[in-house]
Amino acid sequence: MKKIVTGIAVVLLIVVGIFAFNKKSDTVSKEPIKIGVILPLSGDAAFIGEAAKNSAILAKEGFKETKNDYELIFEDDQADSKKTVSAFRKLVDLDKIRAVGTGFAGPGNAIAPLSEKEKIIHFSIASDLNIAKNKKFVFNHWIKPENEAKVYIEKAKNQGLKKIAMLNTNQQGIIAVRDAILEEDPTLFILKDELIAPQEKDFRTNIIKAKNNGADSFLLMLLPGQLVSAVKQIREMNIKVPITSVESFEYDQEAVPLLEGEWYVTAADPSSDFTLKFKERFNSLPQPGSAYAYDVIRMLITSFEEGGNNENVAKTLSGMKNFPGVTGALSVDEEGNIDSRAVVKKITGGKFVEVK
Amino acid sequence: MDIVPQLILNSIIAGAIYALVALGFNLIYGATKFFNLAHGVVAAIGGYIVFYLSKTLGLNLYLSVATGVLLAGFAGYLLDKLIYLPLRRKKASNMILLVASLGAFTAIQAIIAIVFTSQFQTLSRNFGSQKIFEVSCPVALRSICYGVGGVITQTQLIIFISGMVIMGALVIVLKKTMFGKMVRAISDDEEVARIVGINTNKIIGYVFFIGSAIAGLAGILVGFDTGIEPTMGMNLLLKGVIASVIGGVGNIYGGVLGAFLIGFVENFGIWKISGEWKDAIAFAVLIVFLIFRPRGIIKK
Amino acid sequence: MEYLIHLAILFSIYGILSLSLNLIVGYTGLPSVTHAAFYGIGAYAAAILLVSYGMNFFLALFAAIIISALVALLIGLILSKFDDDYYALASFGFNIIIFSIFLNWQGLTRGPLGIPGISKPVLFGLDFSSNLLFLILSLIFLAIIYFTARFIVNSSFGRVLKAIREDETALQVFGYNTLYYKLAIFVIGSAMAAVAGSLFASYITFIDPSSFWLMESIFILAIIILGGLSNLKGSLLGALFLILLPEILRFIGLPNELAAQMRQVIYGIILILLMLYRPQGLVGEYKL
Repeated sequence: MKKIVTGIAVVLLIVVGIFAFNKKSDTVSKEPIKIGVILPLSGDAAFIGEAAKNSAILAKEGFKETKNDYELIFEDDQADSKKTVSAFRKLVDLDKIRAVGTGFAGPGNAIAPLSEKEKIIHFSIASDLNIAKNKKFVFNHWIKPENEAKVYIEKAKNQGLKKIAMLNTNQQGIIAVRDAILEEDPTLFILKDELIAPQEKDFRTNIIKAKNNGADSFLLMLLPGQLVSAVKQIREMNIKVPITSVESFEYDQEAVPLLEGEWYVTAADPSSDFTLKFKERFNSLPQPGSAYAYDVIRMLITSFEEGGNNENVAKTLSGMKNFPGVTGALSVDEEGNIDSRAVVKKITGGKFVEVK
Repeated sequence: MDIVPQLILNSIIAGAIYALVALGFNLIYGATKFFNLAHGVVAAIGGYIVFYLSKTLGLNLYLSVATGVLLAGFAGYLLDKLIYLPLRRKKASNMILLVASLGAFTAIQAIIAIVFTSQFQTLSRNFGSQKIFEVSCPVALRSICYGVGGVITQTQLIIFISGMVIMGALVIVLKKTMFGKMVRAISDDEEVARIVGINTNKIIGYVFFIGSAIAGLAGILVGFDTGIEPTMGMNLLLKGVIASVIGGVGNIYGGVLGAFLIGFVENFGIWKISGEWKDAIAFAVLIVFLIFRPRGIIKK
Repeated sequence: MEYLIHLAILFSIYGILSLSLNLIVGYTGLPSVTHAAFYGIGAYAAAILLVSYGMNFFLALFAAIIISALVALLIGLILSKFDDDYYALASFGFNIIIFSIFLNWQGLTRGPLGIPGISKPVLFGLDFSSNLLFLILSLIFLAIIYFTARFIVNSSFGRVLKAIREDETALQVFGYNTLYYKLAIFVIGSAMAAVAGSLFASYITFIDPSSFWLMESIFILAIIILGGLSNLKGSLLGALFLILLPEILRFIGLPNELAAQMRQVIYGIILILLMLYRPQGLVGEYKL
C-alpha cells in the first residue's frame, strides 16, 4: 500500500513538473502579448469576478486592428490572497504574462510586491490606495473613497438629513467608504459602529434600533441580496424615510423597483453605453468593478500598442492623462492611482439617472 | 411600531425558522444518533427546486412548493440509502458518519452553485403586494407592552404557523401512530428495536424523508422571506444544531424551545451589542449550555 | 521554477498544520474542528507585531506561539469537558467565535481590510525575501515540527495519548490524569499551528480573516483523514495531494467558474468515499 501511495505522490509531482517545464519551450516568432487576469470566479465573490471577466473580454473585443496580438488568460483566486499568489506564479512562470490584473485589496496587496520585483505590469482594482504606492509597475483603478464621501455628505446636508442610520456590510470596499464618510463628518450619522456580517439577511432588529434612535434616513451599503432584503424589511415595517446609498443600488436588480425616487452616490458614469453593450453581449447586468475592469484592459492594450519592454509600457501608463474611459476621463497620478469623479444619481422610472 | 414588541416579533420569526430546521434535525438525530451535517443543504435543495420550477419554468406556485418539499425529502432519503445505511451496516462510528455527511454537504452545495451560480436569488415574484399584519398589544397588557405593537408580513406569519403545525403534527405522529411508536423505539435503542422485529432501516429511511422534507420547507420559506443562495444551508444548519443541543438533542419540544431561545438571545443581544457579533453570540450561548447543562433545557 | 517553489512553501505550511492537527485528532482522538483559529491567531499575532512594532520575525514567531498556546489552554480546558460529538460541535463554535473576532475587532485586526505589508524574516542580516531562501526556512520548520511530533508520538507521553484515544475511562481507573494529557497535546498542537500561521503571514505579506474561517479547519481535517489519522507521513502525503489537486485541475482546462466548485465536489466525494471504503485513509492505522 505504501508503495502505491508514494508512487501516486511521485506521479503527481512529475505531472506538475512536466507542465511547468513544458511551457518554457514555446518558441513562436509572433507571440501574443499575454495578460493574466486573476479574479474570484467561484466562491462568494464569484458574481463580481464573472462580470469583471466578461468586461475584460468585451474590452479586448473592442480593439479591431492592433499591432500586436493579445491573449487574456483568466485564473480563479476566490478573492483569497494565497490563491492569487498561486495563480500569479503559474501565469508568470508558465504562461509568461507581461501584465496582470487583480481584483480586491487582499489579492492586490499580495501580488503588488511580487509584480514590482518581477517587473510585471500590475493593474489592481481595489479600494486600497496604498497598493500602487511607490511602485513603478503597479497601478490601481478605483474611485477614492474620499471623493464619494465628500459628494455624499454634501448631498445629505443639502437634503437636510441629520440622523442617518448606517447599515454597512463588513466588507473591505464598503468599510473603506464608510471610514471616509465618517472622517468627513461623523456628526450626521447614527449606528456608526454597527457592522453587518456578509451573509446576514435579517436586518429587522438593526432597523428598529435605527428607528428607536430617531433616524431620519438610512445609508445602506450592503451586498446584493442583502440590499433587497434590507429595503424590503424597512418598507414592511412602514418606515417611510429616505433610503440612500453609496454604490450598492446599482448592483441589486431586485431592489431597484423598491427604490424609486431615492438618491445615491456612485463613481462617475459607467456610461449607459457600456451597460447596454454589456447587457447585449452577456444578457446580464455589470457588477461592482466591471466598468473598471473594462477600462483597465483598454488602458493596458493601448499602452502595449505604444511598444517597448515592460519598463517602457509602465512609463506610458504613468503618463496617461484623460484616457477616454467608461468611468470618465482617466488620468494616472504620481502614486499610480487613477481617480474618478463621484456623482449623485437618482432611481427614476427604474433607471439610474444622474442628478445635476 | 415600538421596540420591544417588534423585537419580540422578530425573535419569534427568527426562532420559528430555526425551529423548522431543528425539528427535522432532531427527528433524524433521535433515530440515528449522529449529527447529519447534510441537513442544511437539503433545505437549500428545497429552496432551489421551487426557484427553478416557479421562477424559471413559471409553474404554479403551490405545485412548486409541494414538489420542492417532496424532492428535498427524497434527497434526504437518498443520502441515507446511498451513504449512511451502508456505513451503518459496517458499524461505522458517529465520527465517520459525521465526516461523511460533511462530505455530502460540501459536494451538494458545490453542485447547486455550479447549476444555479452563486448569485443570490429571491423567490417571491411580486413585491409590495405582501400582506402586512399589524399585531397590537391587547389593551390590558399595554402597561407591560411599552406601546402599541409591531408588524409582521404574510410570509413570516406562514413561517410561524408552519412551525407550530409541524411541531404539533410530529408530536401526534410520534405519540399516537404505530409508525411513531416504532421511531421512538429506534430512538431508545436501535438494537432492541431490531430484535423485536422492527424493520429499522426502512423506518429510518422514512425518518430521513420526513426530516429532510421539513428542512426543505424551511429552506423554501426562508427563500420567500429573504432569498436563496447556495451557501444558505450552512447557517440554517448551525443555528438549528445550536437550538437542538440547547433544547436537548432528540427532543422535539426541546428543539423548538431552543430555537426560540436562540431567536430571542440573538435579537435582544444585537439590540444591546452591535449587529456583527450575532453569530458569535449564538455560539457563545451554545458553549455556555454545553458546559452547564449539556443534556439541554428539557431533561429527557 | 518559482511556481514549484511557491507550491513547496504552501506544502510546508499545510504540512505543519496537518501534523499538528493529527497529534490532536489522530493520536489522541480529540475531534477538534478549530485548528484554523490557532493558525489565524499565529498569523495575526505575527502580522501585528511585525507591522506595528517592527519586531524581528523570529521574536514575533516566538510571541505568536506563546499567545496561541495561552488561548489554546483556555479553550482546551473548556473543550475537555466534552466528548465526541459535543467536542466537535463546541470546537466548531470556538472557531466561529475567534473568526468573528478577526473580522469584527477592527481596532486590532483591521477587519476585512486585512493587514498588508508584512515583512519577510531577517536573521543576522540574512534576508529571506527570496522565495528559495524562504522555502528553505519553511522546510526547516517543517522538519523541526515533524521530528518533534515523531518524538512525542514515540515517547511514553505519546503512548498515553493513544491509550486515551482507545479507552479513556480505563486509563482514569489506573490513576492517569487524562485531563492533563489532553490539554497538553491540544496546547502543543495549537502552538505548532501558530508557527504555520506566522510563516503564512510573512510569505503572502498580507492576511485577512477569510483565510482562517471554518472551512479551513474542515479542509485541514480532511487532509489528515485522507492521509491517515495517527500517521505522520500520511499527513504530509495528504497535504501534498490536496495542495496539488487544485493546480492539476487548473491544467485540465475546466472553465474557471466550474473549476473551484468542481474542486469542492471532489473534496466532498473523496470524503464520502474514504468513509465508505477506507476510513483509515491512505496510510493510516486508526479508523475514526
